[in-house]
Amino acid sequence: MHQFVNLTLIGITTGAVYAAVAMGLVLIWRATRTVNFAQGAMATFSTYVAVTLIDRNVSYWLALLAAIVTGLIIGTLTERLLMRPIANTNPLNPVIIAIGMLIVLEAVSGMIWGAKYREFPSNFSVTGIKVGTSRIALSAFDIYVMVAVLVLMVALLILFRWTSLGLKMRAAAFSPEIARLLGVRVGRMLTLGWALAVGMASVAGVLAAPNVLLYPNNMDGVNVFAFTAAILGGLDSPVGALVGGLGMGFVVSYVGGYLGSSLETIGGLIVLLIVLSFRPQGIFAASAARRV
Amino acid sequence: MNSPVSNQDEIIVPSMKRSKGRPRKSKRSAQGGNRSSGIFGVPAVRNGLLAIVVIVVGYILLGKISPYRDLQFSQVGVYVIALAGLSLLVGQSGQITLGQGAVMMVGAYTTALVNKHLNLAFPLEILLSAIVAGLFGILVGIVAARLRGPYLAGVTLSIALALPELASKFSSIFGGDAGLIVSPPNTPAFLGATYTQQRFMVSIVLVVTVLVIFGLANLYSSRQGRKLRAVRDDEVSAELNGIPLAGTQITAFMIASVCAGIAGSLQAMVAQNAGPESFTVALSISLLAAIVIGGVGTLGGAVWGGLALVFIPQFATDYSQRLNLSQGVVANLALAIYGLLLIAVILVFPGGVQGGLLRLAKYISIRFRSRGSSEIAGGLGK
Repeated sequence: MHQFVNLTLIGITTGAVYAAVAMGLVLIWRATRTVNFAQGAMATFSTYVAVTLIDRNVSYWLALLAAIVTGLIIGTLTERLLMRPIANTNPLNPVIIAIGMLIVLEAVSGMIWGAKYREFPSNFSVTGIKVGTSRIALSAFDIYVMVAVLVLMVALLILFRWTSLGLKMRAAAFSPEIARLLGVRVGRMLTLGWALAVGMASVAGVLAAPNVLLYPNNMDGVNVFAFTAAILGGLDSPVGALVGGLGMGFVVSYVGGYLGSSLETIGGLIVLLIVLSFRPQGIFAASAARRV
Repeated sequence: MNSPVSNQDEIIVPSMKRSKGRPRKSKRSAQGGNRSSGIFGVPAVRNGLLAIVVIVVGYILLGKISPYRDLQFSQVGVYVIALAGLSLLVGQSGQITLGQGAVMMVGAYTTALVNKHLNLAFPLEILLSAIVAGLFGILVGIVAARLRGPYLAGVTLSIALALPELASKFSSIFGGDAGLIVSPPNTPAFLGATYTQQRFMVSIVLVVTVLVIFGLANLYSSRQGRKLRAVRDDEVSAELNGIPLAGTQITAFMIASVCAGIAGSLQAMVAQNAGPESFTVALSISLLAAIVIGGVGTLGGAVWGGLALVFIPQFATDYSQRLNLSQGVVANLALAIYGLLLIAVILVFPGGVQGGLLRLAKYISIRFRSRGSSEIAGGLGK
């Protein structure tokens, strides 16, 4: 029972990070119908910027802010310089550009910061809280992670539901032509979508770093699970990203805890295959016919 | 992409109209190769003659190179086979996979297990690996036929991530992280005592590579090849013309996996080992990168991609060491080059190396003759 509680808690924490990364993927998918395979590498790059600042005695919060700004810049540049020119071409092209970005960013991170593992300092205690006599697998840092992800999700919800900017972004994603006729600057909305998504992923990178250590491809695993989570939820659906992220967190945690950590990815694969064989578009996606 | 797409695309769908039912393989369909792509673009007989010429010339050239390059060229051949299958799957049938490296692993482990437990001649090992990988490909293809674009990429990526971990988990069967040792084919005695094992291995790889390319070249210009392209270009009109969508897509996955299985089997023999470290997600991603750089959808692209996979890292390492760059740069320069090339190909150089060469050939033939004869093959275009 004790183990089950601990694994559940670990599942929620890791799931929160997956959900944040998955949310970034969903943002970009909704805006440009592209899966950003480079998201993990982008997040790692921002995290390296943050850790470099922390090494120079900058405070954690300023470093987090710097990571977010780095993410916003990377997102903007990627959309404007790489994705915009190939919009409305073969849908494989953006995927391959993203893979190219993934390779380049990982290589550049390795060139600048070296291929060694680095610790990332956490701003809160990472030892488990004491409940009664036993320690549970929930630290102050874990609570911070959950709260941070929750705050981000609520902020996005408010942005998309209750602001005119969010409405414009949804309009631009839903029907670019009509949005453009109504005076929405569709190009800017797409750029903003990319910037927000990579900014979000950068926060996730900083949140994940104390647990997974930092090296040029440290987010590969997280990114694959987050991608799985986004697909499970349906790439269209922010709610799906949250539910899928938490679900993947539980799967990874339980499989890793009860069956051994080397089966985590296989567990993820099996869940993915089962869900997709019943719902090829994911759980929460509006089931739409494929466009002819 | 604004790439000049070949006129083959417009030809395909109308030509499928006569494929109702299962007519006998007519003379016309064999000659269809004349207007189809493929590096040879000619009927099977001429492909066959060309294959023999390539084997003979290749073998003579191999004799000229210094022995320590044997291993490198074996590696090129292995990649060319895997890439040729990938080229068919991505370029001709329009399905994406990030799991080609994982299927190579299936082939490599089949060879390693057969090698360990059964005493078979090496061609049978290669054949068995191809069959097992092909069956695996059918399974993946059944899943894939329901999925499109990013969903398919996600599933194949998960497979690429999960398979190496199976090897670590069931270490009693698969040898864990160290993998399994593979004893390479014995060099026949009649070749003489000075004939090295590496030289024998590279000869095997050469012959198998040419055979695979020969088979695929014929496939490109066959009825099956046109079906693949028809499904890629327009699923609805292909289905209206009586082409089974799922069946065609599963076949494409199976063919690509057979190629990967052969490549994996040879890889295991060349490296004399089959281990999870050789077949990571990074391999699958570099294979996809290499075929896009070489020219996706073409067989020539597979050759350029194979050369790029072996020689770009070597060039990058030599170059950065000569300039006394730091260790981090030396280790990552090749990766950075791949990534930049990949982006450049999509943005400014559609069709990759092969597409560029074909365009050059077309330009020259238009310049010097009244009308051009070559076509730009496949590409990611359209």
